[in-house]
Amino acid sequence: MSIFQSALPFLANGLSLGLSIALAALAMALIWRVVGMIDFGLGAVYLVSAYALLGLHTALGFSLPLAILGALACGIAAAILIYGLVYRHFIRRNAPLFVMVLVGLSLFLAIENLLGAALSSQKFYVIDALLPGVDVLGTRLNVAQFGKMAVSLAALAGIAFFCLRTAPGTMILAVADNKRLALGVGIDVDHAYVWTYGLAGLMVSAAAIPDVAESGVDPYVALNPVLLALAAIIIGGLGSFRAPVLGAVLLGLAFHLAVWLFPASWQEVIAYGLVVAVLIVRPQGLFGAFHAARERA
Amino acid sequence: MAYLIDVLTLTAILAIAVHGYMLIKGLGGMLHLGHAVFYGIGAYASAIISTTLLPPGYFPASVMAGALAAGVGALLIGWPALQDRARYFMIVTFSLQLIFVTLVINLGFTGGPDGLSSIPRMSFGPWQPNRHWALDLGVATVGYPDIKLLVVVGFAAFSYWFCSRIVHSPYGRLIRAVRDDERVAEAFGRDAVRARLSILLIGAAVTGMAGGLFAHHFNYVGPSQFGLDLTMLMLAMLILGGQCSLAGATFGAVLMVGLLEALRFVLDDGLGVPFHMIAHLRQAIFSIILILVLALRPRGLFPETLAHHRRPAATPRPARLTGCARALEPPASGEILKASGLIKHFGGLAAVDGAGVSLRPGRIVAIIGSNGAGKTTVFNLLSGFERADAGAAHVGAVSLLGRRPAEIARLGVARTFQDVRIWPRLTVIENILVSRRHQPGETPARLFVSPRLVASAERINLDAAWAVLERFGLAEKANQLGSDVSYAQRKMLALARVCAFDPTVLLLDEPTSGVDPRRLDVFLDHIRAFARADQRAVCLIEHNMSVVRELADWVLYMDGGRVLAAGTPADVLGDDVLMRRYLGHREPVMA
Amino acid sequence: MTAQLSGLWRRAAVVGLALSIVLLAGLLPAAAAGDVRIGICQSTAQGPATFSTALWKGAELALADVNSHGGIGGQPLRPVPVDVGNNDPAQARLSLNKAIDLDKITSLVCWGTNVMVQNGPLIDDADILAFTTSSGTKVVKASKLTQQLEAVTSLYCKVAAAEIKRQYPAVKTFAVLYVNYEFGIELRDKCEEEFGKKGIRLVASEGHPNAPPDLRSQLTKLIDAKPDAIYLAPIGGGTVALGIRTARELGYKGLLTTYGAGDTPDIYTLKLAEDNFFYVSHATPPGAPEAVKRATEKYGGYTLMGYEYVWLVARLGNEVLKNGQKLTGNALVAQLRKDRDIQTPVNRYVFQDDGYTIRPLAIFTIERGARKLQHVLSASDLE
Repeated sequence: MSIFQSALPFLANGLSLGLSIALAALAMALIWRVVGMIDFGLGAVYLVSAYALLGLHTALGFSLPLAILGALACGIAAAILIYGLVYRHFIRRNAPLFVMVLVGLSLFLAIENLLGAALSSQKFYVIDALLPGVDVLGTRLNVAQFGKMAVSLAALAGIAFFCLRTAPGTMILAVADNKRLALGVGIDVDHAYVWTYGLAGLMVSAAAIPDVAESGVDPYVALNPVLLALAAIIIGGLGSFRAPVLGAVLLGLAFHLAVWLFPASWQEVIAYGLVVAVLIVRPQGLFGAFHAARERA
Repeated sequence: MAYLIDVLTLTAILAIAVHGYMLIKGLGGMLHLGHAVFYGIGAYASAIISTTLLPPGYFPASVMAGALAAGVGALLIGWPALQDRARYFMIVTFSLQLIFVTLVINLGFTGGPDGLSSIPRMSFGPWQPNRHWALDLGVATVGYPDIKLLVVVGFAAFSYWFCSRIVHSPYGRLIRAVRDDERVAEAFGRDAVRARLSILLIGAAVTGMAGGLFAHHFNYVGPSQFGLDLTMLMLAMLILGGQCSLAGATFGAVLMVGLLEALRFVLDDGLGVPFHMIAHLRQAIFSIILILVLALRPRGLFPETLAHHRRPAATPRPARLTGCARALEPPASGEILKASGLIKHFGGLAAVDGAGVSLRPGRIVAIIGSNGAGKTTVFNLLSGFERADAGAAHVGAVSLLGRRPAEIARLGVARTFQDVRIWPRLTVIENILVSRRHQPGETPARLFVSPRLVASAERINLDAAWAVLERFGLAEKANQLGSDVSYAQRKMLALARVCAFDPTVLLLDEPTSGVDPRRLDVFLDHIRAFARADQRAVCLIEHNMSVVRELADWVLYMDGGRVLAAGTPADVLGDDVLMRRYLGHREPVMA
Repeated sequence: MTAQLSGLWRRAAVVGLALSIVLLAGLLPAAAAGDVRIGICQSTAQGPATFSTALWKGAELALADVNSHGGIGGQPLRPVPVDVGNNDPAQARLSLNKAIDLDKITSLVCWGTNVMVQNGPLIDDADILAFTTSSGTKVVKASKLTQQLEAVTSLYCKVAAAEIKRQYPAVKTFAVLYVNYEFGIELRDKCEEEFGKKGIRLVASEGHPNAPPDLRSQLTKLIDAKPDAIYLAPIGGGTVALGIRTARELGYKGLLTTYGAGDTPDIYTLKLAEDNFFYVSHATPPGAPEAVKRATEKYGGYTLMGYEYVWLVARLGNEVLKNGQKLTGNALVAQLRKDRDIQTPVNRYVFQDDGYTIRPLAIFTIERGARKLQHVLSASDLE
C-alpha cells in the first residue's frame, strides 16, 4: 500500500470530523460577528437539543423524524431564551468580552451539571445498532456522518442565502457590520439578536442531532463540539461565511492526519500546534480578517 | 483547623496567581485565556529544580526559579503573539492552554502523566521540617502547616505590594495608556509591543511564583492540575473581583474559594440534597451564583482605583515648568522638517502622489483640500503610521521614512488625531502625565531599584502637568476620566497632551473640527502660541477657511494626493479657480 | 457623587451577602455527636461520575442494613460526601481535609490514581481507614492505611489474558486503545506483560485524551496492525461505548475487551456490545442480597463495592470496639489484615498486608440490554 493510500482513510475521516465541527463553528462565528461575544453557552443549547431528542424519541415515543423536528425547535427556543433571560441583560450594560465569556461558560457548566445531577452521567442511546454506511476511500462512513456533512454544507449555503437575500438576514448583517450605524438607520438591534441566536440555536441543534444518533448522549457530549468550534474559527477567521467552515475542515484533517503521522498521544499537541503555527504565519486566520475584540474589550 | 489552614493556604496562592492575571488582563488589557499555563510552568519549574538541582533548604530560590521560568515562557509566547497589535493574543493563549496538558503528559522531564511527586516542603537553610514538625510555644503549638500558611500569606502580601507598586507607578500608567489606545501611545514615543511584553512578563512571573508555591504546598504537580478548568476558575476570580483592581483580584480569589467551600457545607449538611447529586449540584449552583453576581455587577465588585491628584495651591514656579513652554532654545531658524515626493498607494489608488511639505520653527502651515485629497495620509506617512512607497522626509538630517511611529515621535515630531483619541480610562491629568517624555518611572526595574529618583521625577512631572492643565483651562477636570469630559474638552486635552510632549514639530489633524464656534478663539490662541510663543513648527489640516486665514503663515492646497498650490493664505484662498474647485468637492465652513 | 455612593453600597451589599453565606455555613453544626462518619467520594468527571452514583447506591443499601442492626457499637453510620470534583488531586485534598477535620470521618472509599496517591500521606496522618476502587498499582504504596477493594491493573490483564486463552484460542495478537493518563498507560504496560505471558503479542497501541471527540483515527491505525483482539483502556463511561461502536463501524470483526470500566449501564444498553465483546468485572453471586443484585443490574459493578465498603467498615468497627480499642484507622486496618480472609454477604476477599487484595473477578458479556455472567474466578482461583 502506498503512503498516499494509507493516508486516505485519515483524510476521509478528518473531512467528516471537520464538517461536523463546521456547524457549531458557523453558529459561534455568527454570534461572534453579530453580537461580539464568544458564546460557550452554545454548549447548553447543544445539550438541550440532544436531551430533547432522547426524551422525545425514547421517553415519549415520538417517531424519529418528529423527534428531530422537536429537538430542533427546542434548540432554537433554548438559544433565544438564553439570550432573552441572560445575555440581553449583559449586552445592554455593555459588559466586557471576558465577562460574556465567563457568563456563557457558567451557563454551560450549570446546565451540564444540572443534567448530570438529574439524569445521572450515564450515556443513553437513541439508535443503538450500527448505523448503515458505505465504504469510502478505505474507511467506512455512516449515515450520520454523511448527514452531518450534508447539513454543514447546506447550512453554509443556507446562511449565506439567509443573510444576503432575506430581510432579517440583511438586518443581522447590518448589525454585524456596524452596530451604531444600524441603530442610526432605525434597525432594532434586539430583534436582530433574537434572529441571530435563533439561527445559531438551529445550527447547533442540527450538529447535536446526528451526533446523538451516532453515539448517544451524556452530559459531557457538548464540550468537544464547543471547544473544537472555537478552534475552527480561530484557524479559519471570521472574514466570510466560508472561513469557519474551512477552518473546521482543516482542524478535522489536522486531528486525523496527526495520528496518521505520529503516535496518537501527540494528537492534541500537533493539532493545536498547527493552530498556533497558522497564527504565526497568518495572524488574521487563514481565510480572512479576524477581529477578536470587536467592540468589547 | 487543618482544613481551614489548607483552604487559606490555597486561597493565598491563588490570589497571587490572580494578581498576575490582573496585571496581564486588567492593567495590560490583553485578552488572555491561558493563565493556568504560566501557573503550571512555574509549578513544574520549581518542582524540577527543587527535586533535581537544588539541595534542600533553598525553598525561596526554587520559587523564584518558577517565576523566572514563567517569565521566560511569557516572552516566548508573547514575542510572536503580541506583534500586529496583539489582536490574536487571546487565540494564541487559548490554543496553548489546550495544548499544555497534553504536552506535559508527553514530555519526559515533566514526569509524563504521573507528574512529579516528592517535591520538598518549604525549608530555609537548616530548618527542614518533616510533616509532623511542631513548635511548642507554651500557649499554642505551631505546626508545619501553620508556618506554611504564614509563608504563603507573606508571599501574597509581597505580591500585593509589588503589583500595587507597578499599578500605581508611571509605568503602570503607561501600560494603561497602551491598553486604552496603543497607537496613540506610539505617537507619544512609546513602544507598545515592548510595554505589553514587559507587563506580560511581570504578570507571568508573579503567576509563576504562585505556581512554585503551589508545588511546595502540595508536594506534587501533575498535568491535569493546569487545565482549562483552572484558567476559568482564575478568570472567574478576576472578573468577579473587578479585573482592573488589585484589591478586586485578591478579594475575588477569597470570595470564590469561600463560595466553593461554603457550598460544600450547605450541600453536605444543610439542604438534604440526594447524596449522588452533591458533586454536580455544587458545580451547578456555583455557576449560577457566578452569573447572578455578574448580573448585578457586570464589571466586577471593585472598579479600577484611580489616583486622585490634588491641585497645588497657586505658587510661583520656576520658568521651566510653566505650561509646556519649550525647555530648550529653539534651533536656528530654517527648515526643521522637509518632505518631498511622498507617494502612497492603497491597492490601485494613489492616496498621496508626490506631495511634499516644509516646516520651520515658529511658522504655521495649513493643509487644505477636500476629503480624500490625501491630507491625513501625509500626516500618517510623516508620523510613521503608514509606510511611504517612495519619497523623502527628514527632520534635520535624520530621515523619517521607514521608522516606526515611536521613533519618529522621539525625534520630536508629534501629532494629534482627527478623532481625538484621548486615553478614555485615564483621568485628564493622567493623559498629560503619560504624554510627558523622560520619565524614569516608566522603567519597571527603576521602581524598585531607585524609588527616590522615580518619586522626585514624578513630583516634577506632576507640577508640570498641572501647569499644562492650567494653561489649557482643564485643571478643574483633572481627576475626571478622559471618557467623561465633553467633546470640546477632549479636543482641548488633545492639544494639551501634545503640548506636554514638548515636540519641535506639531502635526495637528483638524484640531478645531466640531468645536463650538464660540470657543474657537481659545483654540486658535493655543495653536498660535505653539508657534509664536513656543517656537515650534506647526502643520495643521483644516477645513475651516476662517481658521486658516487667522492662523496660517503658509497654505498648501492638496487634491488627488498632490500639492496643487502653495502660498500665503491670501494667495491661495483668494484664488478663485482653486476655491471653485474646492467648493465643487465640499462646502468650506465660513464661520 | 451619589452614583458613586450607591455603587459603594451595592458593592458592600454583595460582599456582605457573600460573606454571610460563608459565615453561616461555618456556623452550621458540623459534627453532631453520636454517629460514625464514613467518607464516600463523589465526582463530576466523565466516567467516575457514573461510578460514584453506583458506589453510593450500594452504600445506601448497606447503610440501611447496618444501621438497623445497631451500626457500630450502637452508633449509626453516617455517610459524608467527599467531592473530588473533576478528579483533581488539589480539589480532592480540600474535600478530604474537610471530611477529616470537620466531619471526623473514620473511613473513606475513593478512587483516581492521582487523587489517592497524592493524598496518601493525608490519610495516614488523619489515621483513617481508606479503601480504594482505583486499579492503579501505585495507590497502596503511597499510604499505609489504604487497602485495595478493586483488582489492580495487572490482575485485570492477567484474567483477561487467561479468558482469551481459554475461550478465544485463535487470538495471537492484540492492540491497546488507552486513555493518555497515567492509569491508561499503566494498563497498557501491564497488559502487554500479562498477555505476553500467554503468548499474545501486542502489535499496536494508541492513546486518546479523556473524553475524545472521536476515536476513528486511533482505531484505523490499530486495525491496520491487524490485531486479533483490541483491549480498551479508557477511564470509563461513554468512551468504552465509543470505542466499541467505532471499531465495529470501521469493520473490525475481532474480539473487543475491557476491564471494570465497561461495567456500567452505558454498556449494558449498547446493542453493539452484544457481539464478540467481553469484560472483566465483579460478580454478584446468587447468594447476595436481592436488593444488591437489583441495584447492580441498574447501576453497574461498582454498586457492589459501595455495599461491601460499608459492610466491611461496620464489621471491622464492631470488632475493634469489642477488643476494647478505639475506632482509629490504624486499629481498623490492623483488624482488617488480621482477619485477612473475609467473606462479605457478596464476595470473599483476601486482604494482604501490602495493601493489595485478592478478590473474585468474573467474565461478562452483554445480552439483551443487561450484563451476562459467563463465569466467576473466585479469590482462591486467583490466589
